[in-house]
Amino acid sequence: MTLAPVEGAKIRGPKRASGPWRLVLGRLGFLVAALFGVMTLSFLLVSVTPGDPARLIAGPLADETQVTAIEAELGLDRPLGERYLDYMGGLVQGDLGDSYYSKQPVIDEIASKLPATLTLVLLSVALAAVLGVVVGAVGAYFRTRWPDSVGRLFTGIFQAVPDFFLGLMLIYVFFFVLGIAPAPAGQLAFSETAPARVTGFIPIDSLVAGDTSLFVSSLKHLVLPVLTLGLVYAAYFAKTARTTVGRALNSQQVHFARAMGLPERTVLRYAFVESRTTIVTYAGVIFAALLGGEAIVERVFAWDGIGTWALTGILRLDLPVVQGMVLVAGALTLITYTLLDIVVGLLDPRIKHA
Amino acid sequence: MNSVAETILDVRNLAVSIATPDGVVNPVKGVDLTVRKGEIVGVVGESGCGKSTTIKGVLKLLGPNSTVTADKIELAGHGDISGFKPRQMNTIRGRAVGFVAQNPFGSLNPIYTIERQFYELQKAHRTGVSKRESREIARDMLNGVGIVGPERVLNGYAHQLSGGMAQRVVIALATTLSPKLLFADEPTTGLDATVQAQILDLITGLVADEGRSMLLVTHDLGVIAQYCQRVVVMYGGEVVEQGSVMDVMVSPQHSYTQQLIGSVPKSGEKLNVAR
Repeated sequence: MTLAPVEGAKIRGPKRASGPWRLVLGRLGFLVAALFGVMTLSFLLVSVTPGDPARLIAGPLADETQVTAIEAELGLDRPLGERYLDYMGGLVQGDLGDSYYSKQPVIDEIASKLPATLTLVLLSVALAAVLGVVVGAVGAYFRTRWPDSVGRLFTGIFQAVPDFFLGLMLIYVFFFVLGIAPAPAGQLAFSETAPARVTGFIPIDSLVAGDTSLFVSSLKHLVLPVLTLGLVYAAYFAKTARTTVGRALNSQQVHFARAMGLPERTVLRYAFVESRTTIVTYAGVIFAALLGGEAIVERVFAWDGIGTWALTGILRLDLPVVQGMVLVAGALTLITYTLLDIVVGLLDPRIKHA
Repeated sequence: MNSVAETILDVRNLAVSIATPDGVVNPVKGVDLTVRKGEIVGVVGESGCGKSTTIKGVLKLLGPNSTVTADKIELAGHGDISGFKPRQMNTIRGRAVGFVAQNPFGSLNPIYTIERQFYELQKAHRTGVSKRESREIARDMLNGVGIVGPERVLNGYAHQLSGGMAQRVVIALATTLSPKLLFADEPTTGLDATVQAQILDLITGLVADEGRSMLLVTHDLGVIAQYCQRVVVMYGGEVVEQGSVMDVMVSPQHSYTQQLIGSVPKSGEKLNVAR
């Protein structure tokens, strides 16, 4: 056999040892720069928005002197540059200003409201991802046959129903008619008091306090809101998973795996590892979009989270609250995307660690 | 007297039908195929004539919307496999019949290392294979397909390989379980001309050295003439002619074969170039 040997040394690619660290450090550097941008934007966006908060606070019957007094009290009469330096200086020390209405530090309000939203959004995205990927993958595997048709029917329904409406329907059926779900009164029933604050996450704090009945109650209160968001977004996951897993199942590497006599579950795993980065990315994007974007569902379930808080702040032109929300949403989004970059980079060897 | 070599694969009246939204299509109709021991049989025909579908049909690799029927698919040592269930087919695929597809980049898993892909293959067919054992076998296989320094390839990923290297890895995978029969579906499509020759030399060499047989699907008559002993000409989903390469090339019986051979430019022929 005449055959010129081929050098195995042709392989190019990242050095595995330093690759992941370089990726992490590079992303973190970018994160810091982007956070600074978000801080500036949150100041500018709010400072140039129309509407006069002092007039709104004073009410329709107030005269000019009262309005000017409020303006002075809130520091709104000072020049923009001065307010910007003040704002950025405060941010560095963790001072986001005080709410115009509650007079509480915005940072404290965020700390008390964010855990409720994070619990809701994290569990909802987890449910949506698991449910949606299973439905989508089954649909892709049985394309055009009955499991696919059933999956697509439900996907279509839950995609078409607005989340708040689904929430109301669930409350009607499971609380009002069947009586198996607790009243939509927030994270706990009216009669229950929140556990001593440790992490701010009520289910965890009630466990820390050793109060199991409170823990169970907090889980029961989570079911309907998580189901609402979970089902609606599961539909989106199912659609994405059906397409990406379907494409992977039709890819040549999967055909080759099958031609090599690999068992069907291994073949499915081969298809899944090819499509998982797309699904993980999708989960990250949905998570970031839901933070604060689920305000209306929070409203429906009287969920005392950051979405409701920000909505109220916006309607009352409570500038520090709005700025705080822009900042929190921006920072969490950036952190999510940074983590996403790192995770995807580690999951997929084709992505260059640069 | 020359004894006729043992038959490795005997396919009778193979037909494939695929259900599409616009109705049932029949890309392969009544195909008969025979591959004897040590023989390389070329399957030639234009794109869409059913040559790839035929070999995928034999291995039941077509999608769920397709139906494969045959009077018999006799595979030496396994009997008639035409009625085999998917689970039984998995004992044939890779083990009795190796498969080399076109586009080597697409054939390899993009996420797993090459080493892992050798391990998955062996784990599927042999119980109790250790990772270490698998790695040693993989190293030998890569050496056998002319890859010097297989360690780096084993630790690497498909996208880090050149096209020729990737196809060598695919050939190594396809022959790891020592199948007696190889199906090669246009194994050099998309590779450089020089690499094409290397890959064909390699794969036909592996067939000859180990006393294997091969079905080589191609649309290149030059490849048929150079590497195959017998040829099957397909047109419109049917076999229109088959026989020894010499007979078919010298005196083609079917008009399609005549046209196919006539379409190959000959050296010394006057070129009809517009000036």
